[in-house]
Amino acid sequence: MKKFCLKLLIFFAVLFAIMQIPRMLLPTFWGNDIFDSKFAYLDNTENRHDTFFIGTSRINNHINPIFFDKLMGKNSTYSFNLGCPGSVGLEKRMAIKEIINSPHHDTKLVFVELPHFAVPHGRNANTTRGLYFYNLQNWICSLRFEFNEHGTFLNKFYMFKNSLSFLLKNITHYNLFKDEVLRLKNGTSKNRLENQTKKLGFHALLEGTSNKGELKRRQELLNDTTILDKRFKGANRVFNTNPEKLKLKENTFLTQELNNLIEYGEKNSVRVVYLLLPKSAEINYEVAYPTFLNLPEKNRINLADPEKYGDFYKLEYSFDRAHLNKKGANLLTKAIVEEYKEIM
Amino acid sequence: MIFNSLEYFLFLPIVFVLFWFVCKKSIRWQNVLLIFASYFFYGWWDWRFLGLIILSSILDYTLGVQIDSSDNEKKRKGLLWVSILVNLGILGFFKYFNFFVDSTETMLNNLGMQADFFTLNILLPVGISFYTFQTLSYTIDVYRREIKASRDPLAFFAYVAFFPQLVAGPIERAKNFIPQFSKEKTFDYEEASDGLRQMLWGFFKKVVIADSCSPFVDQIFADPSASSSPVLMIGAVLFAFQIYGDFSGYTDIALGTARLFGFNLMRNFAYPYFSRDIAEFWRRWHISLSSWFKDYLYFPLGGSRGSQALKVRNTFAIFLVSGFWHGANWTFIFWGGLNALYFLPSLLMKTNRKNIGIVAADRMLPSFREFYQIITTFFLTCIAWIFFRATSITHGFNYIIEMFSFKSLAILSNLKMLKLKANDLYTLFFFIVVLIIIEWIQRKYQHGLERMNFAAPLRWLVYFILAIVIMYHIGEKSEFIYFQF
Repeated sequence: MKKFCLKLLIFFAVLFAIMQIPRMLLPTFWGNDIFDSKFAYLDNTENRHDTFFIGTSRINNHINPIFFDKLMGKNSTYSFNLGCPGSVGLEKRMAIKEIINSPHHDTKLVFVELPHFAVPHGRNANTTRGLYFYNLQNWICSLRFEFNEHGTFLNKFYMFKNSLSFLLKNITHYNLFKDEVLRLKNGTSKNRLENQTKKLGFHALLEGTSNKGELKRRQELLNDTTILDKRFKGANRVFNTNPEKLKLKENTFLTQELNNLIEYGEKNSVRVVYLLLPKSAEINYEVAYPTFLNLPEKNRINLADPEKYGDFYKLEYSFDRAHLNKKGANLLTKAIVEEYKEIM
Repeated sequence: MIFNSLEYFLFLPIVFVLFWFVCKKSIRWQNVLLIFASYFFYGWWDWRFLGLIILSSILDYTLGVQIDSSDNEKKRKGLLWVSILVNLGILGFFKYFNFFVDSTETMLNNLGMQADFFTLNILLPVGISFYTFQTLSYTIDVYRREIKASRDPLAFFAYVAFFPQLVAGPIERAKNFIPQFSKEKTFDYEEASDGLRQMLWGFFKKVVIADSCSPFVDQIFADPSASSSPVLMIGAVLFAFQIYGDFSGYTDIALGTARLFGFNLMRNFAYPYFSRDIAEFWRRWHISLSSWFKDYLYFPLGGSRGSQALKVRNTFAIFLVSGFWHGANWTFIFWGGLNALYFLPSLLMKTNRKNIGIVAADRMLPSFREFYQIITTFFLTCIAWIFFRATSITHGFNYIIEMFSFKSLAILSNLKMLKLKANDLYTLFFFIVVLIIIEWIQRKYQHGLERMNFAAPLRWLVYFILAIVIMYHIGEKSEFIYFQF
């Protein structure tokens, strides 16, 4: 029995060691093409960017860095859009730290779409995208976030069970090994790199797009424009109702962790500013807003309040129900500049 | 929990350590551990359906004891019918209720009567067909006085729920299996090592072969009119390997796992694609189900005795019911019927037991005749599998018509149009060839990695290569096809 167990342990130890090789040979493995190509650009360019935007498609499609720099005034910023569609809070957290610590840039300012740190779920949960960042540190972070949420015991149990499985998959490279090996073999595509260089990470949503997914989403909006009113009303309810009446509950861990990131930035002479962006679903604002209110004023900007920024909810500036078109993106970029100048 | 999940990689060593180190001194405690581990294994998927397994265990244990201890034939028969009706009733409700409602409704509408029945949104409990048949065989065997009823509830409950074979077989017989839960176990190094090798081979078949076939098969079967004839042929062949890799891979993992705990499960596959005729194929494919139907349906109906008409009736009965067992869809029944048609000529000409032994047992390669027979049998099997995979019988026929239409002979451009990568297909073919070669070499043994009589470093190299290839291919959770049955 002892011989059997010992041999088995040796076998798995050697196998585990072999599977570490691709990850050891690679720089940080960004588990999706967009993040990967953006970081590859940043690692290889001679341009010294100092301002970064981190977030989901609401950053990727909405912030025009060239326009931002122009509005900020000559030579005051040199920005880059690090948005990535569908990225989750834990990825953003990893990206913030990466960008603050990277020796390739002169990071001074980081705008971050206000994240939360829930355990991944949905269609990406078991894919490379949902697993590559799920290391021990992020696992603890997500658990602390979830245990500060107000779900039932059963929900928390299932969340814990899933989170443990994700962590172990990350450690053992289960379901990641193929992507890691392929990336080692293929590297980052030149086309993608060139694309990031030209537009500095920005991807505008245009009506003449040939992207089928984008066209479908555009058509869905045109078929039913009332969704914009719903989003307007949802956001308005969260931002413009008496908070006591709404009884929104703050996730204290989220507030604490976002403040920690602000402090971490300050120690490295980087200012972290959290953004509440328009056109999100009401439920996201319900989680984010109580935390947002407890962040320092110089580190937060609310661009989602329909009372002040009602234009973002109009068809004229919309591409689909959740995103702005190029015109709307420029309007949002301008709004960020104006808001930032006020808290500068 | 499925075998090719990380959860199982954690679950198995924990149960193994508890079984051999903590519960080593007591069979009772080992059985208790196996029951709880099996319920945990099953409950990981959906704990609500655990109730069905427990109900089935309590019912058949109680009925078994009563049938065994009674001398009143009428009472014994009555109790047997209770077991059959309750077990098949549960199976029928969860698996076939909507099928019968839909079919009746269609039939009445076709007869000109307006029928609009309701259907239920029923979730099919995983493995229900397997454990139902296993418990049924127990009560039938007790009734036939072929075995004594189990008086040890722990052994019986462990027999019903034993996790390696709970969800997709092999469908064990009480005669072979229950005594194993009452026998003291000592750890056998050779058995356990070979069990691990069998598991490794099973994972290779499931993860590398079956799961890699899956995207091709799904895409090609989705719309036969969008594919050229050669691509449709590739799709049919790949499905044959997908279902073989999936089910025999699962079985190898199940058998290997059981051997780690000192249990021997019955063999379920014996290299079916090396069969020289359909009769041989059915002696080598899903052996535990074929023999179940043979013992509990075919023989009671008269088997191959009696008139030609009776033989035809019995053959169709066993194949149609076997098809229906697989799922509540006419495609499975049609698949069963087609296999009956394949089988019938050899039965009527009494050549169905012509090919009993191992093909080319004393030679390295088959003769030309044997090779021809193997290819022909494989071809017929592939045609039948098309109906098994199709969503409807019409879909199956369309597939075959398109496949033999030869309207287009394009392969690479067609694959590109279907968003399938030619390189992935070449890799897959390479691994299929590896599978065929290894299984051909090992055809005298139970599994592909048995008796590897070469130097330890080389042996370990083979294990590492296989393990790395498996880890490379392991992807998003892909359930076993036979779980749905």
